[in-house]
Amino acid sequence: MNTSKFNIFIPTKQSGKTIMVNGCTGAFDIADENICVLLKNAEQNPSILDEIEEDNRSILERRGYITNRSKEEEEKTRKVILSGLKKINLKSLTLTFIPTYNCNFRCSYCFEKNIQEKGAEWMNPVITKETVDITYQYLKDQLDNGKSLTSIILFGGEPLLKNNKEIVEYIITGAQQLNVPVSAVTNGYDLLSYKDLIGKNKLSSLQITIDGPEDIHNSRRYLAGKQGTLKKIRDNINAIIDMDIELIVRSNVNKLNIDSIGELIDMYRTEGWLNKSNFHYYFKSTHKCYEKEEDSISDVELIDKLKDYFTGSNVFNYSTIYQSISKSVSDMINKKGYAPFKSGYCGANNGMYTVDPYGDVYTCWDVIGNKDLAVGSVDYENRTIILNDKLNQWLDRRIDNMNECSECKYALFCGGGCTAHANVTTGDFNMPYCQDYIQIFNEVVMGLYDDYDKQIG
Amino acid sequence: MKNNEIKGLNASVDLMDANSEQEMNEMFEELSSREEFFCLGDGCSGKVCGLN
Repeated sequence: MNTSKFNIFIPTKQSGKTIMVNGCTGAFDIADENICVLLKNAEQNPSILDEIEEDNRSILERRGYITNRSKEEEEKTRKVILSGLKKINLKSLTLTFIPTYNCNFRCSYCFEKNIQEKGAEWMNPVITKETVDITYQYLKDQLDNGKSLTSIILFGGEPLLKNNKEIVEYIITGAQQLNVPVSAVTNGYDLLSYKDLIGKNKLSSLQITIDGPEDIHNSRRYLAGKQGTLKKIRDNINAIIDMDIELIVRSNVNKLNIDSIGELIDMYRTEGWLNKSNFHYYFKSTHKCYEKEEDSISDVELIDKLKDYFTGSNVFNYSTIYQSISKSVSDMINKKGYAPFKSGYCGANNGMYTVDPYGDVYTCWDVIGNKDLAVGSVDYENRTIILNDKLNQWLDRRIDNMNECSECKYALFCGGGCTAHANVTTGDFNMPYCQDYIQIFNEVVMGLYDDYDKQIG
Repeated sequence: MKNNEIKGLNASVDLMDANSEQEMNEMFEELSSREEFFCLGDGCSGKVCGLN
């Protein structure tokens, strides 16, 4: 009998108790510290496992913390679990339409500057009804083959430019026929032109970005002519907030606006948005790989700042990365379900497709417009979508294909990190992009358990 | 060593019921057909990065 190579030990605030997690079986347990100390010591000296009382040994074996399997067999087991997850995840599709690459904003930190550099002539085309029709036909064929479609997202450029209403309405009508909700990631500037398209079976969810109080927001998110945008966005939100729609306000944060977070939350309060059940907001550090080194902050630095405004594990709800782990782990604990393992970092590694105005198909929003990374295209002659071999570099980006992940106890939780960011920083799709994942995972699990422990007394 | 407490917080893949790779595959097939196994993280679709 040996200890598992995937045992994780996370301290708690409760004296003498440690959270044990197994990165292969997905077990989460709370245990007396004595047991954890013994398990840690047994990594060097397995014979001391005999000291564990029989009942506990049985629990530890069943939960995967001790095992008769060799390290190689454990690794093989993790591969089987990963393959099973992959099979499930590939059944679920997500579709994004890029109605246009054009955008009326010129945000200072925009990650799509490579698209802007292509010029107006390249950015201006709008997706055609024919491209939308063929995409929907392809989707229907996939659904007939047993796949499911969870959502349709509009992205850009700016997907809700007032001049593009006709094609957006056309996309929404198609989605209604598939009975799939449509959401949009929009700057919110031309929103009132779309008021009649907002509702439960139409545009049911919007993500709008506000980066701070008026002076800060306007210094970062301005029109092509440099005019400020906050006042109009704020008025637009007020005009639709009582409609049947989920409104999510995101703030992209770096060193230049981190100190204005409190003032921004005050603005949400003053506007009365915090009393609305359909209003949600969160913060995200700007992506380091596209950002000037001197301006960037990490998600850990961001959460430390957010702790000035939110207490306990509630703070996790206001940062994307933390919220993603927190929601899945708390759902797991509440439902006594299985661990939130991932077969890949995100939808781009599973069944997410993005169709642009040129009929090119991409996985991830980060790489749209970079034709070299297109994973397929619309075949107008045969009225279908043809996917190419480049899709495999996204689908095959699994932790068992990355040497650096094979020894990592957290790999099934993390999924290997963002594919696009790994490629930007290392030039290699198959390198992990860990950032502070382990620190964040441990902090979230510790924080959630602390609250859970208080609840159960 | 005395009987210290270990308290499970969730369900886990029970490897003791699978002694071969085939048995493990069968067990996993069965598990993945259960609704509760679909608590698989956020599945994403840009929600992790939520770019804008």
